[in-house]
Amino acid sequence: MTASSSGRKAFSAIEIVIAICFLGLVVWFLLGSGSVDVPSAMTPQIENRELLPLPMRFIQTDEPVTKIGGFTLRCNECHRLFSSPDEHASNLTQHRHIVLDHGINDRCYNCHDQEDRERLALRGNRSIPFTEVARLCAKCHGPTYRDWQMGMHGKSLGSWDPTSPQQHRLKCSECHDPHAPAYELHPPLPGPNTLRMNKMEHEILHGGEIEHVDPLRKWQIELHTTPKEDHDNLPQNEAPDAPAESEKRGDE
Amino acid sequence: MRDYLTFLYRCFRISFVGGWRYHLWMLCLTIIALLGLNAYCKQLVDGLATTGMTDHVSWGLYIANFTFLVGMAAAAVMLVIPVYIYRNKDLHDLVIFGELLAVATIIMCLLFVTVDLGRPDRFSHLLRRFNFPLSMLTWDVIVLNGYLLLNLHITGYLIYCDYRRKEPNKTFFVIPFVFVAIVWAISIHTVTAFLYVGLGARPFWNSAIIAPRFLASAFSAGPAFNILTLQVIGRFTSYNIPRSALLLLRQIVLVALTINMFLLISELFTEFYAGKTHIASTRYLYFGLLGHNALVPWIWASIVLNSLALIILYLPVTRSLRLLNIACVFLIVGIWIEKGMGLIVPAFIPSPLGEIVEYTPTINEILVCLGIWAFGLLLYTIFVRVTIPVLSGRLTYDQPFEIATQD
Amino acid sequence: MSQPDSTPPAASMSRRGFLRRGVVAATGVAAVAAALKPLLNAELELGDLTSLEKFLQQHYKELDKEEMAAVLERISREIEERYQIHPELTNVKPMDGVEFVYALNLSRCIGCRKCVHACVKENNQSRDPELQYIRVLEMPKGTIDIERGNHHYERPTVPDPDHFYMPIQCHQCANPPCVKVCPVEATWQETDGIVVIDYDWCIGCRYCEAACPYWARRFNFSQPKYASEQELKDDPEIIQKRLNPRMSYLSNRPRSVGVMEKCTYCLHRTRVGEMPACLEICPVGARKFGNVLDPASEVTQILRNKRIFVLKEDTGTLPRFFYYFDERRPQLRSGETDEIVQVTKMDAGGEA
Repeated sequence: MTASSSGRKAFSAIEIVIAICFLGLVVWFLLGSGSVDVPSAMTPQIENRELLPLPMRFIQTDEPVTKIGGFTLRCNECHRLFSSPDEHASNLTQHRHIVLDHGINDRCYNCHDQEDRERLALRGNRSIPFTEVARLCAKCHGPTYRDWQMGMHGKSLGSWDPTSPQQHRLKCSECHDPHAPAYELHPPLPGPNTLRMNKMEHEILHGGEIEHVDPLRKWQIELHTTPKEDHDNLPQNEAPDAPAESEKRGDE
Repeated sequence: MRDYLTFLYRCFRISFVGGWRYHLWMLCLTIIALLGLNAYCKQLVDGLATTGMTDHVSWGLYIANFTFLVGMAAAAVMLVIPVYIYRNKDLHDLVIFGELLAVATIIMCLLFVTVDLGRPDRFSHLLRRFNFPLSMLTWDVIVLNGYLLLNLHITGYLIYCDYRRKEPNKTFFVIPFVFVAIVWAISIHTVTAFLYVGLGARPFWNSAIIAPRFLASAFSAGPAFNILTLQVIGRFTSYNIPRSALLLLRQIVLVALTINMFLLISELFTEFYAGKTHIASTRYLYFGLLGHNALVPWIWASIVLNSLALIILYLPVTRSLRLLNIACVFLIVGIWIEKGMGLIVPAFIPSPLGEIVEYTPTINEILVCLGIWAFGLLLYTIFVRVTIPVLSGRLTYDQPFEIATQD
Repeated sequence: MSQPDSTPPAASMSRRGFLRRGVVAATGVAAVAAALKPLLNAELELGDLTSLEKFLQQHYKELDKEEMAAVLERISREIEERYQIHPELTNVKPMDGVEFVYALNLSRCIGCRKCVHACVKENNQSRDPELQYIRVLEMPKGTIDIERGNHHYERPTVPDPDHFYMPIQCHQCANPPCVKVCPVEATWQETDGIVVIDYDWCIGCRYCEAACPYWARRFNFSQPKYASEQELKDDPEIIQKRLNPRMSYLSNRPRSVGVMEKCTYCLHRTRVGEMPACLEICPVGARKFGNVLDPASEVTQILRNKRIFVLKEDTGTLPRFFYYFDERRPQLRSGETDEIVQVTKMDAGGEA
């Protein structure tokens, strides 16, 4: 808008430049994609059965029975007929699937009542039913029993309110196999793989040594193809477990 | 009222008038601002996942720029204090440019905060339930908007009076507001620093030195930016910028930068000498942590630039403007790195649970930032474009508009 | 842009100049409009501005009973439309005389990460991008410096004999720094101690995330997705299978993009007496939960009798999440042997 005509000319040139730039922008915006690619990390698949809130073991604490050839038999149905010597687990002739790995506690009649197989043995010739298994364990695991009684050890399900009828405090043998009470090792579920982590490397500190690991590569299939049968909700009833490893976690 | 609307309309019109350089400059800024707008729309649709931020580094470039710009905004006070407290003549006519810069930067600050919000559509919740005085963020909302209004009032009133050829009523409408603004300027810094300092979860921030360093760095970067803009104004307009004014600003920059460097040394000594365990973030920033060192070159560049600026400023030769300008550019870039990336990002690395996830801004995020910067500069250019003809008496209510355009 | 009609006549302004300016202005407007194009992709995602009802919704604490019912109904409708499931959406209030506390036994935890994934399943967290409330740290024995913790441990089996494991989630602090900093009061502490978020009020400034010393808060950087496209192709019903239909307003209803979320101790379960999901899944019973005001509760017993510590005590957050240890292998200490005898005596008495 300047007075001189040369100024006007320059002015129109700049006008043309402006118009062209704006039109260029219009084309750019309209052709350009309307969104931004966000790196997305594949969510690891987790089997539903891994996440069922069930007790670790399904042992029939209430009923002292066993399955032989498809028949369910009560213990005494056989033991009334056969005498059973005070055996050590290593020279069992029956029940050979039982792996006894309970420390120095390696005699059957330490726990089982010699007279009545449907009961458990306390001290001084007294016995208790299978339902009261915790009192049996208390013979040796006093502090743990005390903790369990107060709810400090073990697991309660149903309700957090101790007065609620829904609250169910799991008994010792619902988590621990009495013949081999130490917990077995678990494969861990996949680790975190959150937004944009896949772009960078991560270190794992191994006692001061640093390993670079790409988190996306960490949760690949080989880890997940190792199945864990015992997490199935099938009762695992005294079935022989894999032989205990030396690194098994000790328990009181 | 009618006059005022005409005034606004004339301001609007005059901002489209200028030589080809002016138009080209404005065109570039507009293009960048529009690219930023486009990038922000993408962010609105796809969420903040379009930025490089994560749950680990939950504040990034947006808040970094916000922090830096708060400092710039408050630096206007460094032009105001010599004029209104020490009655400095040289700077008197230039104060208004500092205040205009404050207005533009505060608007940029508010934009940076807005683009950082996950749900900007719920902005009204701030008005409906305001967690004041507990949340420092509410304090920040108040001080920033208050500072914006104060400066809008002071500059707007002075310019409008000049337009009306009226002597401004300084005792009632300027001086009290200026003094409030001086205190307020310091408060916007302090409050913004407290925003970070108050978080016990982040040892990198939870240190008393952050707020003073904030002030020192702002009072060096702000006047340095003013030195540059004033020279641009002097070069491209008919407005006369006295050299003595620039040299006074140089003095201010020099003192502030010296204090800033001293505080930096105090901070580094305290962090590293005692060898405490909570310095992981500081170590990450300056030396890298477990092989992660994205910020190391930046922060050392910042320290080198600031030191160079300091050395140049201390040399008497730098009374020559060319060297002064170089020092100012070094300093602004240095402080931008230090107050932006150097202050915000490392506080998140490692995360409170010790995990190291680094932060790299995405292109979309950078575009949004550039867009806001371009928009801010666009605003400042327009402000200056309007102010100069008014101050030099060419744009007034009783003259035809065309006189104003003869530049 | 300037409209030709309102322009005062200017001496030097020709008609053609006028037209030219109009064209330039029009290109400018077009450029601005085109820049807004991505908003067209937004479908119904553009937040509260699309519906007056949403925009005007009150803060959780200001909603009366009927308004709450209306809000719940609206949200259920939205969830149904979006995910094709029928949610049982409720607003569970805290119980009187209850203050929840969590205790976690570090001697027991084996680091299996089941709690992490059970939590995701229960609380309808986004699967893509992945969002989890619980982090399990593997730490070398001999330190509890979490900066030495490894979040990404990967082993064929856990636990590793040289390490211990420390799950970390929201500590529901009694002095929560996250609540203090929220500018809009979108997060607060309820009477039972649970710190909650009103997902419909949060503006997404992430100040709380910066304030939390336990890294317990998560932000929805994108719209939560419950299945990847490939998974949807393989099983079109997968979202319906994955979403937990039992939802509550303050806990696990699906979140929207741009808001914070966090662990709520599964308040939709715990406020009706149930156990949180992370506790239920724990295979070793390392997790304990209950009412600290009840002297008979498990957590009160633990707080009284065990060796307890809280994480980052120096931050003054007063967590409601406690870590404790068992005495490991108490061997041949006279006091404890006595206790064993005592217990058996008690048994004898019971039997007699």
